[in-house]
Amino acid sequence: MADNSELEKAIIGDFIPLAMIQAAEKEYKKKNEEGSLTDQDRFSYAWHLIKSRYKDDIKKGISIMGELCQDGTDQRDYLYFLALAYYKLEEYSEAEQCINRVLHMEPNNSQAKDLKKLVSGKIQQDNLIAAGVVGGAALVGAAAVGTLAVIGGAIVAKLISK
Amino acid sequence: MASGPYNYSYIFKYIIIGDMGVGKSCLLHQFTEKKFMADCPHTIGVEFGTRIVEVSGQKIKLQIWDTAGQERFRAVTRSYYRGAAGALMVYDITRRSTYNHLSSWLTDARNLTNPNTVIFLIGNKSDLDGQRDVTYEEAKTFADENGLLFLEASAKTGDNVEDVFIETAKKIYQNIQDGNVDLNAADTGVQLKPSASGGSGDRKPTGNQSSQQSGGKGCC
Repeated sequence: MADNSELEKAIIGDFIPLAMIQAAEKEYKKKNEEGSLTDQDRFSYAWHLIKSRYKDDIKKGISIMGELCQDGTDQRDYLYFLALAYYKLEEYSEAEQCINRVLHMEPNNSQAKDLKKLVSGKIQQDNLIAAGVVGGAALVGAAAVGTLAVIGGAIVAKLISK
Repeated sequence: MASGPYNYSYIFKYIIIGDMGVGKSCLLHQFTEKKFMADCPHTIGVEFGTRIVEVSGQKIKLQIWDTAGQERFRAVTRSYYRGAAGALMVYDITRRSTYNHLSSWLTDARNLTNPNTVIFLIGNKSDLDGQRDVTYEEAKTFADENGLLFLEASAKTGDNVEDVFIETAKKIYQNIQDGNVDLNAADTGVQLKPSASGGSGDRKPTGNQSSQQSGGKGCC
């Protein structure tokens, strides 16, 4: 339907304004103090945090969403948003684990498939970069050995000429 | 589908709202993929779809946000109304309760979008006429009283699906032509694509707002 960059812009780059996150936080704290906090409130606050552009918010969101995920009945949704949150933190293997669990529950869920596609793309990219770094290091190493050989050769040559 | 990044002149943002199970995602899927999804899972939060359509010789990219109908997502999906140029409000003609909830959806749509947002009421599942629980006439009356466009459609057969998306775009485009939409304002749900990068040589800017809009500024 859409290519990866468009998908990423829509799914990942869909940040919500700071004011909305602050409003959600206020509501959450108020209910918490009143002792009337429901799973719905927790979910809503965690969702706002995960949709933030700031990593600290996202981490806080993961911790609340993660707690819900353990004893809530709507695991599919929690897992999806956890996958999204880990993706935003560039923790792709965690993201992959979560999204795989969603796909295990609903193999044909197109939203989960789209997110999985993005996660797989990033993992592949990371692998390529890692391979590139190793390859690059090997090249640098080879060059260093070569340089040493040249210097060594020059010293030997000097010694001989003396 | 797309041959270049800017082979369209405008982007219109839509949202699809309505109760759980009325067929919002199926309508979107029918429109973007021309296929009916038989057992479509409940949407998680929001789902995104796009398609380029042509209205009055202009290529327009529709960016469609399909919202989850489950009550627990209601607070969450409200943030997507902002900056929608079109709102498709869907009920199921075979389930009266989904029709009865329209006033609540309409309140959200009116409060959270801007005054020029085009709201289209859709009575989905028109293929199930035998199980009808809401008459065409009463829904039409409701639509007229509230100034909404209205059609019954079927995501299953595809009947009228194309029309609701295109008619909404026509109305938005008409609003632009009439000068009711300020293309430089935020939150109108309408973006003018830049003509740079040579994508659409034949684009004819409408009005005098041609190229101030520098593209990248996302409305969603």
